Amino acid sequence: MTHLAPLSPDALYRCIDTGPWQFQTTADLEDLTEIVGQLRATEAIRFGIGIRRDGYNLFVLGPPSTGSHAIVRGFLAEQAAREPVPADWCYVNNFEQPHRPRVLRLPAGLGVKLRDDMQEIVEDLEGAIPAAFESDEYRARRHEVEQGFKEHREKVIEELEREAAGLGIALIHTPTGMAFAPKRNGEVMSTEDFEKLPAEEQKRVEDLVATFRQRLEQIFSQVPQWRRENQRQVRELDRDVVMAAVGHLINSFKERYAVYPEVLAYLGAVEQAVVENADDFRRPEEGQEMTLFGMTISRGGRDAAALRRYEVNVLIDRSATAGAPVVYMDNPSYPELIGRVEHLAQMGTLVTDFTLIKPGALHRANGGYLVLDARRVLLQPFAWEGLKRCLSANQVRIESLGQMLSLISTVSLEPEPIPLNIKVVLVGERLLYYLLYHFDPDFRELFKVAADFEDDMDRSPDTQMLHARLIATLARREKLLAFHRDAIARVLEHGSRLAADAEKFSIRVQDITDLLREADHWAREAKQEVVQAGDVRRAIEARIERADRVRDRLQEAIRRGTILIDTDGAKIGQVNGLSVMTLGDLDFGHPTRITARVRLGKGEVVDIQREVELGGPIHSKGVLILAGFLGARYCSDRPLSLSASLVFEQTYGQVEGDSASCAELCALLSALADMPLKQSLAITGSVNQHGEVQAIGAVNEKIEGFFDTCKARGLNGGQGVVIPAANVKHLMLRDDVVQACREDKFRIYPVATVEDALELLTGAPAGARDKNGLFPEGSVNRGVEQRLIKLAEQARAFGVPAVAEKREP
Amino acid sequence: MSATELPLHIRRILVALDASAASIAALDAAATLAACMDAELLGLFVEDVNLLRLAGLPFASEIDMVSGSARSLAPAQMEQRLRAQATRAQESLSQAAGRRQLRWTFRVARGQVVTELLGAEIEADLIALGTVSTPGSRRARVGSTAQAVIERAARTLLILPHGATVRTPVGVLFDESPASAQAFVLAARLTQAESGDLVVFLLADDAESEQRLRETAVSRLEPLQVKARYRWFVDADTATLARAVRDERIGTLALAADSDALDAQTVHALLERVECAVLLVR
Repeated sequence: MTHLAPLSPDALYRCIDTGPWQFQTTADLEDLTEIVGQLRATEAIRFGIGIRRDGYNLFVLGPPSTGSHAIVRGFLAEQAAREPVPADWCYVNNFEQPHRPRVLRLPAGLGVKLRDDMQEIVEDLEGAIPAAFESDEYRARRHEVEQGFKEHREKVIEELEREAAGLGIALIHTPTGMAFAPKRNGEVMSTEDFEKLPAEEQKRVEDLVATFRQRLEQIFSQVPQWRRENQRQVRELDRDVVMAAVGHLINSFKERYAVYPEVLAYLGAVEQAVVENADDFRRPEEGQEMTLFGMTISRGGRDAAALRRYEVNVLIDRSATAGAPVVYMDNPSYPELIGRVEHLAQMGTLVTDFTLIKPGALHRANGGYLVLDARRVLLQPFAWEGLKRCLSANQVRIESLGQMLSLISTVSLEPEPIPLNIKVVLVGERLLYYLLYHFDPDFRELFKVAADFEDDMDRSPDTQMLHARLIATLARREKLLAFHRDAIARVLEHGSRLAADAEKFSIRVQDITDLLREADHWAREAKQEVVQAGDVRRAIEARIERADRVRDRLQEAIRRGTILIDTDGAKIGQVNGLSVMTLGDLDFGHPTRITARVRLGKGEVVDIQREVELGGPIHSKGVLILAGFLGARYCSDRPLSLSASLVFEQTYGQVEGDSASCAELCALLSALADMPLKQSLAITGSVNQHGEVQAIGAVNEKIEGFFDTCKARGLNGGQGVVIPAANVKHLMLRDDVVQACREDKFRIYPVATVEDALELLTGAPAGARDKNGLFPEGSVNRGVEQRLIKLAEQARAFGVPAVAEKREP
Repeated sequence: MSATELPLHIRRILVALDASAASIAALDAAATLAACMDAELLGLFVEDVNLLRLAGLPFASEIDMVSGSARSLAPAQMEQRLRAQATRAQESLSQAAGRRQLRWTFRVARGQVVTELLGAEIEADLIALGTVSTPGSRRARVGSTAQAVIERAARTLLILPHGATVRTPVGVLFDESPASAQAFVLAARLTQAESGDLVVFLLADDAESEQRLRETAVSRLEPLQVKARYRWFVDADTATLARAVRDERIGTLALAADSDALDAQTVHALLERVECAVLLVR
């Protein structure tokens, strides 16, 4: 049984060899500039940043504690500094359709200049236009035009009056109009005089009056047309006057922007608008402010709101920017991302215009890079959809959520969309990446580059050195005390424990930083100048201690016999399995009693956990494998006529995982062979149908769990844990466990097959078939086979239909 | 001879009212003048007999100014309309007089407008009338009614073109005729009452008579403590005078109707051209 010897203490904890290290403390180490152990991810990021094609946005996968955020931002900052400064973006009024503001793209810094120029233009016009209208020349011309209309009308009527007078008919002005009447001696003929006239004369006068009345009516019907014509002339005159004032002013600005056709078009539109709305620039007559409920209402002349139309809303000003922008969005809500249109309350209603358009992160990052936290984007309502829409359309269209969902109906704008040239970097957990990839068809179109960050890296003298420098860098960045080389070694060893692998380090920078901070705290507490290994150890222990209330309770329950666990003696069909619980950031193991009972049956192994739906599918799989193993190993030529039941005693929650299948098999075989199992040993490992023991997770925690139970009762030297041989490389056990093993008070046995485990647990050989195909007398296998044969015969005697028979045709 | 000794007294001012905007303006100017002179206002509303006759004709109809369409007229309707106008005219008068605490009387007469106005002038010292009193068709600035009154009235007239008010600076045409001396006195008193400036347009053939005129004016203004500017004209033609009035921004122009230097035609032409209030002194 030499191959079943316990592991040497050296195999239980792989120490860092500080021998080759040339330094004493982290103070002697240089800062680490390169990124440790993330070659795959950094290559992906480089590729993602470098490639300039649609859809090549990045998704950085990996736990946040790996420092992926910082790494990505570092890369982006470096790349962005080499890139040109992108354009300024301004929104200006659309004079034809004010609800659809126009966008202007200008070289960096020119946006603000245009805004200032427009301000200057408006100020100049506020002086120039009233001056033009107040000039004597304008007044004279206006008078001339207005007089022309009046004179024309008067002339026509006067001609008619003269003609009538020639025929003895007078034009009389009544209080409300005009009338014709026959005249005699300069006075209107009285009724009596008229009636004295001969009938023909009366008829003639009457006809004449009627004719003149009709002609006057005709003249009056033409008056509105003349008035319109006159108004048109006045308008034209006004336009000419304003044009003269505005034209040369705007032309001088047009020269400055001669190379920007969009700006020229805008200035042209401004010119046109100013000419058409010259009244906005004229001063209101004094003392004619209108008020409503005590508030001044601007009317006609020089309305602040009217002049706001000539402002320039510089959405993005890059005058102070160097290189391309890198924007990190902390709160990627829809409006913060896409931009928004704000409203002002005015007289109880909400109003808005293009000056109230506010940029979003996409605008700010346009021409550069936008870093977002994937989870936060997904948590914000509509933010993800909004982001995707912008990326696939390659433009940002500001649309309020209220509008999109028809929640509010108030005046709003449809700003012209801004073309988008941006690289979005989403940083998130792996699960999110795979879920999005699977369920969101747009995702794979838009985020074609995945940068997958590693959780751990290989352990080698070179990487140890790199890691030591990483610790030095972090310590300096966090302004911590210097770490002694032994303390570094301890931190590195803890890194292996975190990675649950003696051949690897965890590179979760966040976890390492936390440990360094806590060790620094203890060192300062002890008034040391350098952090020693003891401080690191204390930090690790204190951290466990803070979190292990539940573990303590569990161990206490075992100690007091509330949970039944034997740690010495031997029992048939009973074995100590090992489970692991995860609570917060603490994983811990504890022993669990597994028992097996067998009787005559239909060839089934009943997993009681599964029957009551407290077992997960992987656990059930492990149990079904046992049946497969039993049948193939012992009953290949006869029906398997047993009914076995397996249970995790005193567990009241879900049991998942197959790491107890080896223990279950041992319990089952012990029950079949009627051979007792040592209770001083606990066993963990999964088993396959061939009886090979396979690796399991959290081996360190499981060993420590059983060790704590034994230690509480007093170590008797015979206690230990049987683990899969494949797990030996993962061992990074606690100091006290290693110490106990060194003193031979506790043992760790690696096993490769279930036979090895059985031999350790029963103390009897497992036995191999001889040339006759029989197991040797006294071996465990022999006992098992005998019992199964006996059960098969009993089954035949009782006529129990065996499952195995049905399967064989 | 001092200004106060001159026999020019304006105690009653007659205002021809027809409820039109021009007549309201004339009323306002008359009230201002009355306040200066401590005079009484006499309002006269003439029910134009021509209108009543027109309404009595069997085929009578008028073209409405607003709608431009024809509408038949009836005598009763016309009477009612005139009565309403008279009421409005009286209200305006009572308000204007009330504001300045003036005495006033109001009378309605029926007849030809010019005849009635001239008939009433016997009761007054000054007649105030607005020109172009009906809206619409008069190419000439001074309407036919005003024209007739100007030609035939024996009293001093206050003529108000559209938009004018009685205000300073007051301008006066001053020559050696006694009539112009009357105008000078009126202008000086108005200037004094309104505490404004006086501009004296001296009409003299030579420097000597100009000097004499100026000295006369200065001596007359001295006791009144009125500041005056002087301008000398040798040949008083309409255009020159009208330009001078405009250049000096004259608010009220006083001139004598029977001046030696100005004939009736020039006066008439001047009335057509100036935009300020004119006191035609008789």
